[in-house]
Amino acid sequence: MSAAIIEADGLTKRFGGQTAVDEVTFSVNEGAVFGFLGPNGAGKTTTIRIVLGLIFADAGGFSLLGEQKSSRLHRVLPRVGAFIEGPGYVPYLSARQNLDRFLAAEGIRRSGRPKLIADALEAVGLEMVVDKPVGRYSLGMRQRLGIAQALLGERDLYILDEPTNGLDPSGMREVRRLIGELAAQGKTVFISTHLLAEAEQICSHVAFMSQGRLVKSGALDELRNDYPQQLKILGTPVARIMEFIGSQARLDGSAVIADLTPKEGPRLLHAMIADGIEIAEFTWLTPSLEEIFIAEVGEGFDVR
Amino acid sequence: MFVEELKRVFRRPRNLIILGLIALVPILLGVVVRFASHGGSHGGGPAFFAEITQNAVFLPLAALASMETLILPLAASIIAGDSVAGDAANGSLRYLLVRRVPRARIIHAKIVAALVYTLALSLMIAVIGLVAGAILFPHHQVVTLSGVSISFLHGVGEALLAAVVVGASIFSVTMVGIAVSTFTSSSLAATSIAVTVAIASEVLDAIPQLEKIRPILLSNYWSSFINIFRSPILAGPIYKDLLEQLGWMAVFYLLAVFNFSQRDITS
Repeated sequence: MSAAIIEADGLTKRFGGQTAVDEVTFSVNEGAVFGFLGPNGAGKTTTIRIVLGLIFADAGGFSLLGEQKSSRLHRVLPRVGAFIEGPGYVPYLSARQNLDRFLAAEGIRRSGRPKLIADALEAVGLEMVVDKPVGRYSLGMRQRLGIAQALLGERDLYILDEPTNGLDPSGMREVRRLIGELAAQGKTVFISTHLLAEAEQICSHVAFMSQGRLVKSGALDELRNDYPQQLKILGTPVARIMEFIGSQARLDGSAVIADLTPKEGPRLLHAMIADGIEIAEFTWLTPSLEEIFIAEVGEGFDVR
Repeated sequence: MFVEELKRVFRRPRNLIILGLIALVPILLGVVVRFASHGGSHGGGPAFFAEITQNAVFLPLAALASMETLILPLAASIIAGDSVAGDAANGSLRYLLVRRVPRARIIHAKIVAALVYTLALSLMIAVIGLVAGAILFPHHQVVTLSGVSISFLHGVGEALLAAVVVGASIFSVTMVGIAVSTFTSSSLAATSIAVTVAIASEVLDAIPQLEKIRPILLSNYWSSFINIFRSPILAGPIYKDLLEQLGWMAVFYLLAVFNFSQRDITS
């Protein structure tokens, strides 16, 4: 079992009379690419802000890289790269000056800063506009600058809140590639997004948030295995296959489609072969993350 | 962090324009008085206005006196109101905080930078006023308000000291602006409240029936710097002014630091 990098235990936060985060509990292990998923307003950003010490929880506790007190988070924050709800920059300063400001505030020596800044800006493709005031950047360029800020220096954990907002498809692809590279280096990535198709491509673990509550969390593969999946069977005689599966089977053209869990698959296949049924195709139609999300959280949310 | 904050304040085009415009005031004042047909000695206008033509050191003093009641508090409020609220609004505040910068260090850097800017405003007026005064008016021995002659260099020293006292007199307004700035993401709101406090203080200060509360009004001793130009310097009102500024600063300093350490950063 890997060490927990982020742990939340019953986190609760109310703003006025409204509960933004309601007893949220989850754990992110080292090396995971953890997708924190849910529609806009589900409480994702508030949870992230609590874990980073920006917002104080009304109840519950958390641990970030082993540190449990908000007042002592500065001990572990140098190991965290964070992008929270869009970029933050001083508009009349250039990208270089803005990043330099963050590094200086962090206590990084002047001599070490240019290389870190150049590497981060190169990673997001902004190396040609380093001296332009950020206020003149396009929306996508600002978003890239925000990601560059999170990538500054070597970190163990990257917390990325909606990193692909405002990016064009190629920009989104680049961010996915960056996250893949970080994961390949053994870094832990915590990414919040409402884009389920995007999360499906990069996440090893996911948690579903809805209306401030955490509905489900776990390894993506395990969630898929727990979820009733559809089995596509091509074979003869079809009537015998339908009989074997019973009420969970239906016909789709010449294929039999059955709602089953993967655990039931091998036993069923053995039994049908032993009974003399000729099987031409026996395929699991893997449910998409969106299908699982809708099944767990319910429809009617802005999940796209 | 303090150096970074100073860079943020002094690299902002708006702040540089404010500095530039304020720098023009002593020059314009000197030029107008020098080339207006009858000079400036009619006895009206702000303190030292009538003496401008007599000696170069009176130009910066007249400029300080004319700007202390509105322009300086306004300029200080703009910087102070923007100090925390500006970074909250543009989002860089949260990134400073997640870069392990303790909240106490951020607020103290912002307080010191805003106070430095406030002091820089009055010192700049003094220096430019002295240069313009030296070009436009006589620069020989200075006759103080007590009728005693002092050397020109002595006069220059006292003008600079007056600028420091004027700058420090505005510190309370700056601190009010910073404290309000920790409550909001709107620089404009924080600036407006700080300016309103300064103007309200001056309005209340002018009402005779409120004489009893005058000593606690932040603007009550704003003209105390005039006493530097007595021989010897009449220090009592200046000390009272500085003490009062300290009192106001202490209250709003505690409010700023306490609120900033407790506040949820949601912007």
